[in-house]
Amino acid sequence: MASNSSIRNCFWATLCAALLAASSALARDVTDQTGRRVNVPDHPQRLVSLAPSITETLYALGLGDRLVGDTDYCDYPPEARAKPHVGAMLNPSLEKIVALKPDLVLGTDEANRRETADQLAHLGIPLYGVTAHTVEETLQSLEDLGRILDWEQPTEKLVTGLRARVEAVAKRAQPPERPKVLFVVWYRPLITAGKQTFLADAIRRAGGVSISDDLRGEWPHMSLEEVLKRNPDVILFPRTESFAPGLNEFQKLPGWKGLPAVKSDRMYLVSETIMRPCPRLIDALEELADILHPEHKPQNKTP
Amino acid sequence: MSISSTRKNVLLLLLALIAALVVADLGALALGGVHLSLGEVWSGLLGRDSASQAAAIVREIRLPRILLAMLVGAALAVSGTGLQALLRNPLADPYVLGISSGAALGAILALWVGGRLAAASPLTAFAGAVLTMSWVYLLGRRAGRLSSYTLLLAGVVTASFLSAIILFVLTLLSTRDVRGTAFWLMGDLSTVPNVQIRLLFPAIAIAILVLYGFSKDLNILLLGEEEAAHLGVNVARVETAVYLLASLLTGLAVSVSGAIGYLGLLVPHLGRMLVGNDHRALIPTAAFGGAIMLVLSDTLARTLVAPAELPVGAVTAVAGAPVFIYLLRRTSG
Amino acid sequence: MNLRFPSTTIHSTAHAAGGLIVDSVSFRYAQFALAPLCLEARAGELTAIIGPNGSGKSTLLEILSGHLKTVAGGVYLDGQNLHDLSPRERARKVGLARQETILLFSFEVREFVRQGRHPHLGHSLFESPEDERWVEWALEKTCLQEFARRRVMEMSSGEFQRAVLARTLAQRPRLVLLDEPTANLDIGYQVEMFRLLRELARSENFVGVVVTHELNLAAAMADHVVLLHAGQCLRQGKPEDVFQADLLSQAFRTPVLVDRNPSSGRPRVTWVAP
Repeated sequence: MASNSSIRNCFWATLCAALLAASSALARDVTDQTGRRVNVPDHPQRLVSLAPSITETLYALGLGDRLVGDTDYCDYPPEARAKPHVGAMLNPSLEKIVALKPDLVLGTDEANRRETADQLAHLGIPLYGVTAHTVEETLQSLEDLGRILDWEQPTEKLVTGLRARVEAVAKRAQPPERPKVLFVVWYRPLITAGKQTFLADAIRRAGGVSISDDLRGEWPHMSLEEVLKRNPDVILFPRTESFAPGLNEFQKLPGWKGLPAVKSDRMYLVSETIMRPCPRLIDALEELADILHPEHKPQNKTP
Repeated sequence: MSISSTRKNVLLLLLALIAALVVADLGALALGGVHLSLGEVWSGLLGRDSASQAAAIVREIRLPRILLAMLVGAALAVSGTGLQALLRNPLADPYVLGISSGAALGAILALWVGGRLAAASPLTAFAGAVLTMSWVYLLGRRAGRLSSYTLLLAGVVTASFLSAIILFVLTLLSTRDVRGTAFWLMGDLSTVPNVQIRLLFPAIAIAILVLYGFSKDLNILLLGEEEAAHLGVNVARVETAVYLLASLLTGLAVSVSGAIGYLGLLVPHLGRMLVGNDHRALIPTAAFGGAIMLVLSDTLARTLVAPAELPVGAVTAVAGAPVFIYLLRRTSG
Repeated sequence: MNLRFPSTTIHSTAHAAGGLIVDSVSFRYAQFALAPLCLEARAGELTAIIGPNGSGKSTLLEILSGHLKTVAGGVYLDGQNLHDLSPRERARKVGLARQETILLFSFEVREFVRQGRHPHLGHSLFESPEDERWVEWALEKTCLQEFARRRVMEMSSGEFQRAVLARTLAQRPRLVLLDEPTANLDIGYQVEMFRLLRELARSENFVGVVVTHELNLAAAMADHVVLLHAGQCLRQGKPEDVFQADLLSQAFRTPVLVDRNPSSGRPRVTWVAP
């Protein structure tokens, strides 16, 4: 009797396992956001993220429990730090990724390398690439991710909410007054955002205009003379741990101290998520709008 | 060609060099993303019409840069000259003994730690340079005194080792901070607080003058350590002094402006083509020649792709490599 | 055949006329020892030091220059112990010309010779007119005037050796030491070099000491010869006294014959065909 039921149990277990395996073996070929053909499973359950922006996006979508691994630099939200780490973004440990047995790995073209994607493909692990160069593309990328991850409804809800906030910011930031903005990524040498980053787009949506949006390349070096010539009204710096000088140091530096924006102390720190294609970008966008158009700040902000 | 190094000739040479430097400076003040006329430059320098944009460009942006370029260019060129004589090697440059790697590591570590320390990166860079200098000195001794052969080996090994550590630390920095380290690899002459320039000027000037005092000894040292000793040179004292001065010059330059390449290697050779091997004429030529070259390179860096700017080290490399190849072919032909 | 070891015989005239006295100097390297040596060389004369490889000739020359400190004994030039002098003072009195490699950084001949004045410059950075006069004199004595603006790298070996000699002369030393000045020179240059040395030693009244492998030139041109062997002085004296067939055969480990050079009357060494 015992052997009969145990044989039956084995049979059902095997059938279930086979079905399960078969279901997750269900996959389809798609073109990811960077233009690569990838074979993604229909219902990916185990995800590995290779960029901090993707990690926080997954959590924002409520998919934190599907995340089985992320990078050493994924620090937002704090729960992400407790996940198993696979290394850095440029050279993650393939062994660790494989050991986590992911169904799908997610990466971006800004932080990750094509070689990593190819190597994972060799190992039979699909990597879906995500990219965005404008605020709108960020939102579309979110929607696309929702489809890929079989999570369309919650994603739609989130994106709709974000879109509404972007519209609200756009309403506030009406011309004619568009302050000229210099965004300083690094001050020595002076590196700013060029036309190919979505900073120019974010600044525009927040009601300003970036003085470096005609410069080619993503992160061009700009000359101080040119900055003086273009005379920005506002200078922005990313708020990071390693940002070295205090803002008032610039009032002593030759070249900088002659800029009207420095003299009238219109220098501000902005959350560094303004450079990250993830939901917190919208928070940063609102922060930026407050800086550029304080007169239009809403009385009670929706959280 | 070589001029006979007499007191009179060297004084005439100095006058010619100063004149050339003044011309280069005026050109650099006038040229850039915004081209100014000499009249505007002049009134900008004199402080007239201080509200105008031209005056601001001249006084606030270009003048500090040009001053820094002159100091750093002179320091690197003279350091290269001294090291080429000390090591009796025409391929020596200010970075061969690892000083710039030590300075870069000092700065990059400060950046990694972040916060207030990152703001003091010129100091940590200088500290890195001094530590490397001492380490290589101790390593480069043989039988209790400096041997140019052992020194060269010690320096090369230290430089490679430090470069490897730098690369490792770079992988620990986040991608945005890595962009800031472009400064160390390619040099930058902007945004130096005036107090640093004020400290730099006497330090570099004094070091160059003291090194000049050793010029006749350096001439003899080129014959070889033994031959120099037979001619009465206190080889140990001269080698130690030249090593310390050259390293100090390099450390000062690199701490404020990053590693600008090729100058320290090329300018001494160009100087030799002009005035010969006698250091009594060569050192002033190298000092002013280095100043002029860096001022010109910086002007190009600011002008070629305006409104963007090239890193000045890229300009010296791109301009320097063909000049070096030309020199190589000329001397071996 | 006995090799006689000479007892100390110091000519008292060496003190009076000025000269070099080497008094019982000994020195030790790890594998080699220079036994207590005595020798003398007079001013106005050319002294040749000969001996097989490894006999200590170059070491002796370094000791004579005052550069190498001895384990015992002293080197006296004009009565003064060379080791008591500072390197700079010593460089004013002692000139050492060794085989040099051509430099990577080339100088003109005049600049090269001018370096010989370095010990005399003192605190001054530049040469005085008197220094320049001595440079000219050195160039003239070595017949290098028309080469003055030529680069040292562009000269032949013979001319380069003359330039080295000129630089040593420019030091105006009392003691001129030369280590194999005729290596790599053809016989014409060899003869010329030795003739020049002898003439200069006489006219400038310095002590000339030459280490050489050229036995016949030493025999023909030197006033005084010192034969070294395994760190010891086998014989010193006039060429006729030193150039003895049995002595030389033992020292150089090969049979030789000694006869007379018909033109000079001095000893002539020929090796015996095997």
